[in-house]
Amino acid sequence: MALAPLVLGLLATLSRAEAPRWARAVAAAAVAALAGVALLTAEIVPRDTFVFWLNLRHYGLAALAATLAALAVRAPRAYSQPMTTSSM
Amino acid sequence: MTPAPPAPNGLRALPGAGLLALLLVLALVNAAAVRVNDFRVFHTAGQRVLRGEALYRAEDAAYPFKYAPVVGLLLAPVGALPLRPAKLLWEIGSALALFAFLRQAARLAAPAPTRAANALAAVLLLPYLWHVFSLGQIDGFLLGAIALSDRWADRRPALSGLLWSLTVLTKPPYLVFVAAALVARQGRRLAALVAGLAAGLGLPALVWGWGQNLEVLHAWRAVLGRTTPELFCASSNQSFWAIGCRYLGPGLAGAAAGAAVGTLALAGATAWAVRAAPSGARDTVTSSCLGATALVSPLGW
Repeated sequence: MALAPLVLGLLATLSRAEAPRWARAVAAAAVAALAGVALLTAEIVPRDTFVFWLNLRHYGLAALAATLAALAVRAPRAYSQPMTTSSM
Repeated sequence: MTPAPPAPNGLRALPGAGLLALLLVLALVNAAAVRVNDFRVFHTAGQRVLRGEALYRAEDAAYPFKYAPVVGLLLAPVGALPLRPAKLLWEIGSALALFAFLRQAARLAAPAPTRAANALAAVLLLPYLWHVFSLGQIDGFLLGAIALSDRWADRRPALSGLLWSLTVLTKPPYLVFVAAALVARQGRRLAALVAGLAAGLGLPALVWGWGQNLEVLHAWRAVLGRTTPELFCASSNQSFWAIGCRYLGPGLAGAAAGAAVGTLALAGATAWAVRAAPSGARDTVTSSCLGATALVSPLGW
């Protein structure tokens, strides 16, 4: 859940026609991985299968991959538009 | 989701009433459920404080209270209520805190999220939201607190630092936000953090006396020391430490190597993104710190 800002960035990249093709491909792969992990979390697979993936550290690896992907697609977007509306 | 006021680029949408309604429904459904696992830890801690009993006990086994003593004191109002009403209020509070966090997440995101992106994110997060509510976890409050702390960093640095210190006293990995504060040169916020930590560790002495407060702090450290190493490689742990155990070698050596490699990878990627887009440096580092909170934590939280 703490990945929410980065996940939102990935989803926004997918919906932007002006995003570079490579950025959309990276974002699509990361979102697909996150969606797969979310389905496993929803416990729609047998318990043994879930434990198998858990032992592979599927949450941690997907989180790391999504974080790296989100940081990669974040940069090119920043060249052409404001990064934030926050008044922090 | 309802659209937020137009952003400078005219595209950014913040989560609105739709997400709040979803969170409240999840909260109410789970408030009515019998399952209270993690919440019972917080309720029991509040009750123990009110009764003058020891917070940290060996017999708590799989569900020990692992947070700073001051957190136990702050949970006293929760312990004053019967379990069911306390859980109802806890779940509603958690929903509001998560709503605050997800709105701040939309502010931090780049590129700017649309309404559709917010809706899709809510779908992706649904299993995790359910998890927080079904177990009655404290993480919704912590994410809400760190989000508000981030939002108020410039306008209300003292309050921002105090809120941040509460998250650290509950879960020390929130110290990773020191990186974000240093990048943004938030000196007053950092000073407030230090003051908040000092107050959080010292002020309970007003309740328990200095001698007993020291004993309680020792007991807290002992609980963390006893329970943390055995969970480095647990399958439920998904942190860099546990990934190291799985792929780089068993035991502390593999865990430490995983933590070092993972932290370096994350720090390197963040530095690259900051260098590529300096105008968004602050939000990039904050977003990265949020992700890092769980990944660099020895326990995966």
